[in-house]
Amino acid sequence: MIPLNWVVGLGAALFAIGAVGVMVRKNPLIMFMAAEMMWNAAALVFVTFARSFHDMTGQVMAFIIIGTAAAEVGIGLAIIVSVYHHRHRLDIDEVSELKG
Amino acid sequence: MIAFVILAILALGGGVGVVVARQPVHSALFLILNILALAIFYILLSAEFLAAAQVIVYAGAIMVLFLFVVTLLTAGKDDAEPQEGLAGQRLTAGILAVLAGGGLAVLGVLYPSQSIPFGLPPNFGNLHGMGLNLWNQDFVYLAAVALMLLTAAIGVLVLNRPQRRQHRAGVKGEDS
Amino acid sequence: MNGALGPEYMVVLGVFASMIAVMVSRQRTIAAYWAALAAVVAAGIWTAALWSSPALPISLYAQGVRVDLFSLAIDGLVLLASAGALLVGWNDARYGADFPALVLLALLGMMVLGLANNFLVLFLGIELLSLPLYVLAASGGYAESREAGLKYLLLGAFSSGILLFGLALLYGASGTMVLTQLANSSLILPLAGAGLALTVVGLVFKLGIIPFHMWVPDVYEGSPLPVTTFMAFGTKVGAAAILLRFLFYGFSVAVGWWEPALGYLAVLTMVAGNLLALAQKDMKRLLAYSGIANAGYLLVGISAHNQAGARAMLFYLLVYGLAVLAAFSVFTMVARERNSVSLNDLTGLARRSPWLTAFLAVAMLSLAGIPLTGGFVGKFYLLQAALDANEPGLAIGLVVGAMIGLAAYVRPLQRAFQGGDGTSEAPVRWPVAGAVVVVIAVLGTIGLGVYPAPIVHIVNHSAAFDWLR
Repeated sequence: MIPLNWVVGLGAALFAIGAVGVMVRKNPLIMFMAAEMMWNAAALVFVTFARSFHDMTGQVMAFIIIGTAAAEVGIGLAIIVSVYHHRHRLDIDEVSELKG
Repeated sequence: MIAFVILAILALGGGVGVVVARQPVHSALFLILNILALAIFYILLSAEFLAAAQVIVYAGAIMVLFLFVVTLLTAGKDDAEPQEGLAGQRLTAGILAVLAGGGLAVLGVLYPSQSIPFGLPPNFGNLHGMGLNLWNQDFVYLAAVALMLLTAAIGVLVLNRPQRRQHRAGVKGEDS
Repeated sequence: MNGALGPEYMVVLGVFASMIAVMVSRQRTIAAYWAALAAVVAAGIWTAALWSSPALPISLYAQGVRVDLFSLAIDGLVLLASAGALLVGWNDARYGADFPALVLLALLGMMVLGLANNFLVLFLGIELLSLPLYVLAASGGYAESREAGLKYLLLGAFSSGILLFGLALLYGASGTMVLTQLANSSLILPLAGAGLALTVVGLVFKLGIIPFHMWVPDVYEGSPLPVTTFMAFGTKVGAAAILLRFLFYGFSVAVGWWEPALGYLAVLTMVAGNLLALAQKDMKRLLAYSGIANAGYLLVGISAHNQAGARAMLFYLLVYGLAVLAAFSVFTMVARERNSVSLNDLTGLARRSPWLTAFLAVAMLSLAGIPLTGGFVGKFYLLQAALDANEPGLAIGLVVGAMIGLAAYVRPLQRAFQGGDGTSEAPVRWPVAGAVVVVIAVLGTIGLGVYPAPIVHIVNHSAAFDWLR
């Protein structure tokens, strides 16, 4: 059996990598993928704890995270495509000037 | 333990790849690597159904959608990101996130949750067990996810509405 | 079962009814709006009928959902918000036939947030609320709107990720997902602390508290006006409700962990939000910063952590919502076919439409907290709660914030009463739906300022957190 606490640590590392990706990158597609990675890391941690408690609720939560991510990606990509259709560069800092 | 190390290296490599890749296509491919590594983790954590869902929904549907959009939007463009403006601020935020994540990882490793030593209950994590949960007490969550997918369907229609229909509806001030 | 989730079912039915109405009706949009409004009214009636039900509180789905007077009060608030948003955007071709269905879906998310009692429902509520709003923010059909939607989406996904990871750590630290069981479980302290911190950051992101507020002004400015109205009122209610529920049910014992931190955030938000509001020329941005500052006031009620605080927060949500509805419906009438109102557009408004200016003045003075308006009474109750909790810092922050805010809110009024000879003398036209919203909201604002007793009675019953001071 694999060490459960190390899997939680791995989940935290993936979460941090995703957070860095959202904050450092400017391409909306890559930012969005990094955010998906954060969700995935959380799902991994839920499944790990579900295993250690022998409790199916954690797995149900992970399943719901996957389903929600599907809906979110559908909407997100639709928004990104519609932004792109009207403006031909895809960089968040060009897209929106940060005022006040 | 060996399995854990190999899979962890794969997952972390995929994760770092997503963030550092220059082209979004490469990011998407790295994310698929990451997702597949997590799917194998799910099998090792006796969540067979979730492993299947992860591969089918995430690696199958979501990432294919991503790849499609990436190729649609960035085909034949060099994607060098401009390095100006908030670079310092972003770097600080990134360093903070790394520190926080490192702290979390150490916490997760040092403080294991109370683990139940004896054997798993029957049907833990397989299709039967998930079905018993999702179609009994947790059905309402499934219904909520269905409503979210409905939102996504409406959203795609709204956002990429054909322009003609808007004009026929008598738009007052449209600047698109 | 006994119909405890009736209001939610009505809203889901309303979504389908409004979509079917679009499909079958010849006059496509108006039918959808009527169907949605009917669903909102039906849900409101059901909520009112449940209010006196003796079976409350009702726990459903393995304690995942808890219907009590608090959740019913939140239902009432968000139903008001969505009715207001529907009427402000009533049958406007710019927003299309899908606007009512999306508003109802977001409304469902807000209602779910009011009755969440485990992590699953909490997360589902947040996402049910956010997903339609991403679409709505981007649905304006002009560049700023699409960019607002993109920004909202990216920061929303990011903050949901933080929230999820925090919930995961809390699950690991306690072994349960039910909020009311968190307090009795043996927590693994470092994990629970980290999980609590991440969860609160995720929720505070949605509420728009100051270090995590950067998305609010851009999203408010870019979104179409009715959507901004809905976001300003509805999402504030939803996020504040779930933050209060999460902290009061789950962490009422470990108060020292979150009370001081939230207190500092509240003071920072009240002062800095109002300061930033001073510099704004665009009315949507002004109300965005005002929304941030008002989120700070709401946080006072939460971090006071007593019954008075919860009551004051619920009362203030209604007051703030009515003022926002009135202000935004006036702005929508002034803006007409455009999507933003600047300070210059208000010049000479008093000459063009004295009544509209009076309504705007009531809304702005209520936001500023002048006596005889609801804003004053709401701030007074919050002040009382902060003093009850022995936190003079919170009280001082609130007063200082309100003083700064006064200057920000008076500026558009001053502009409305001055100048304006020659240019655009035509009086502002009144659409019927918008007029209904503005009149009800203004009457409510004044009513709450003069005779708040009935609402105070309702609020006292609904925020019955007996285990608090």
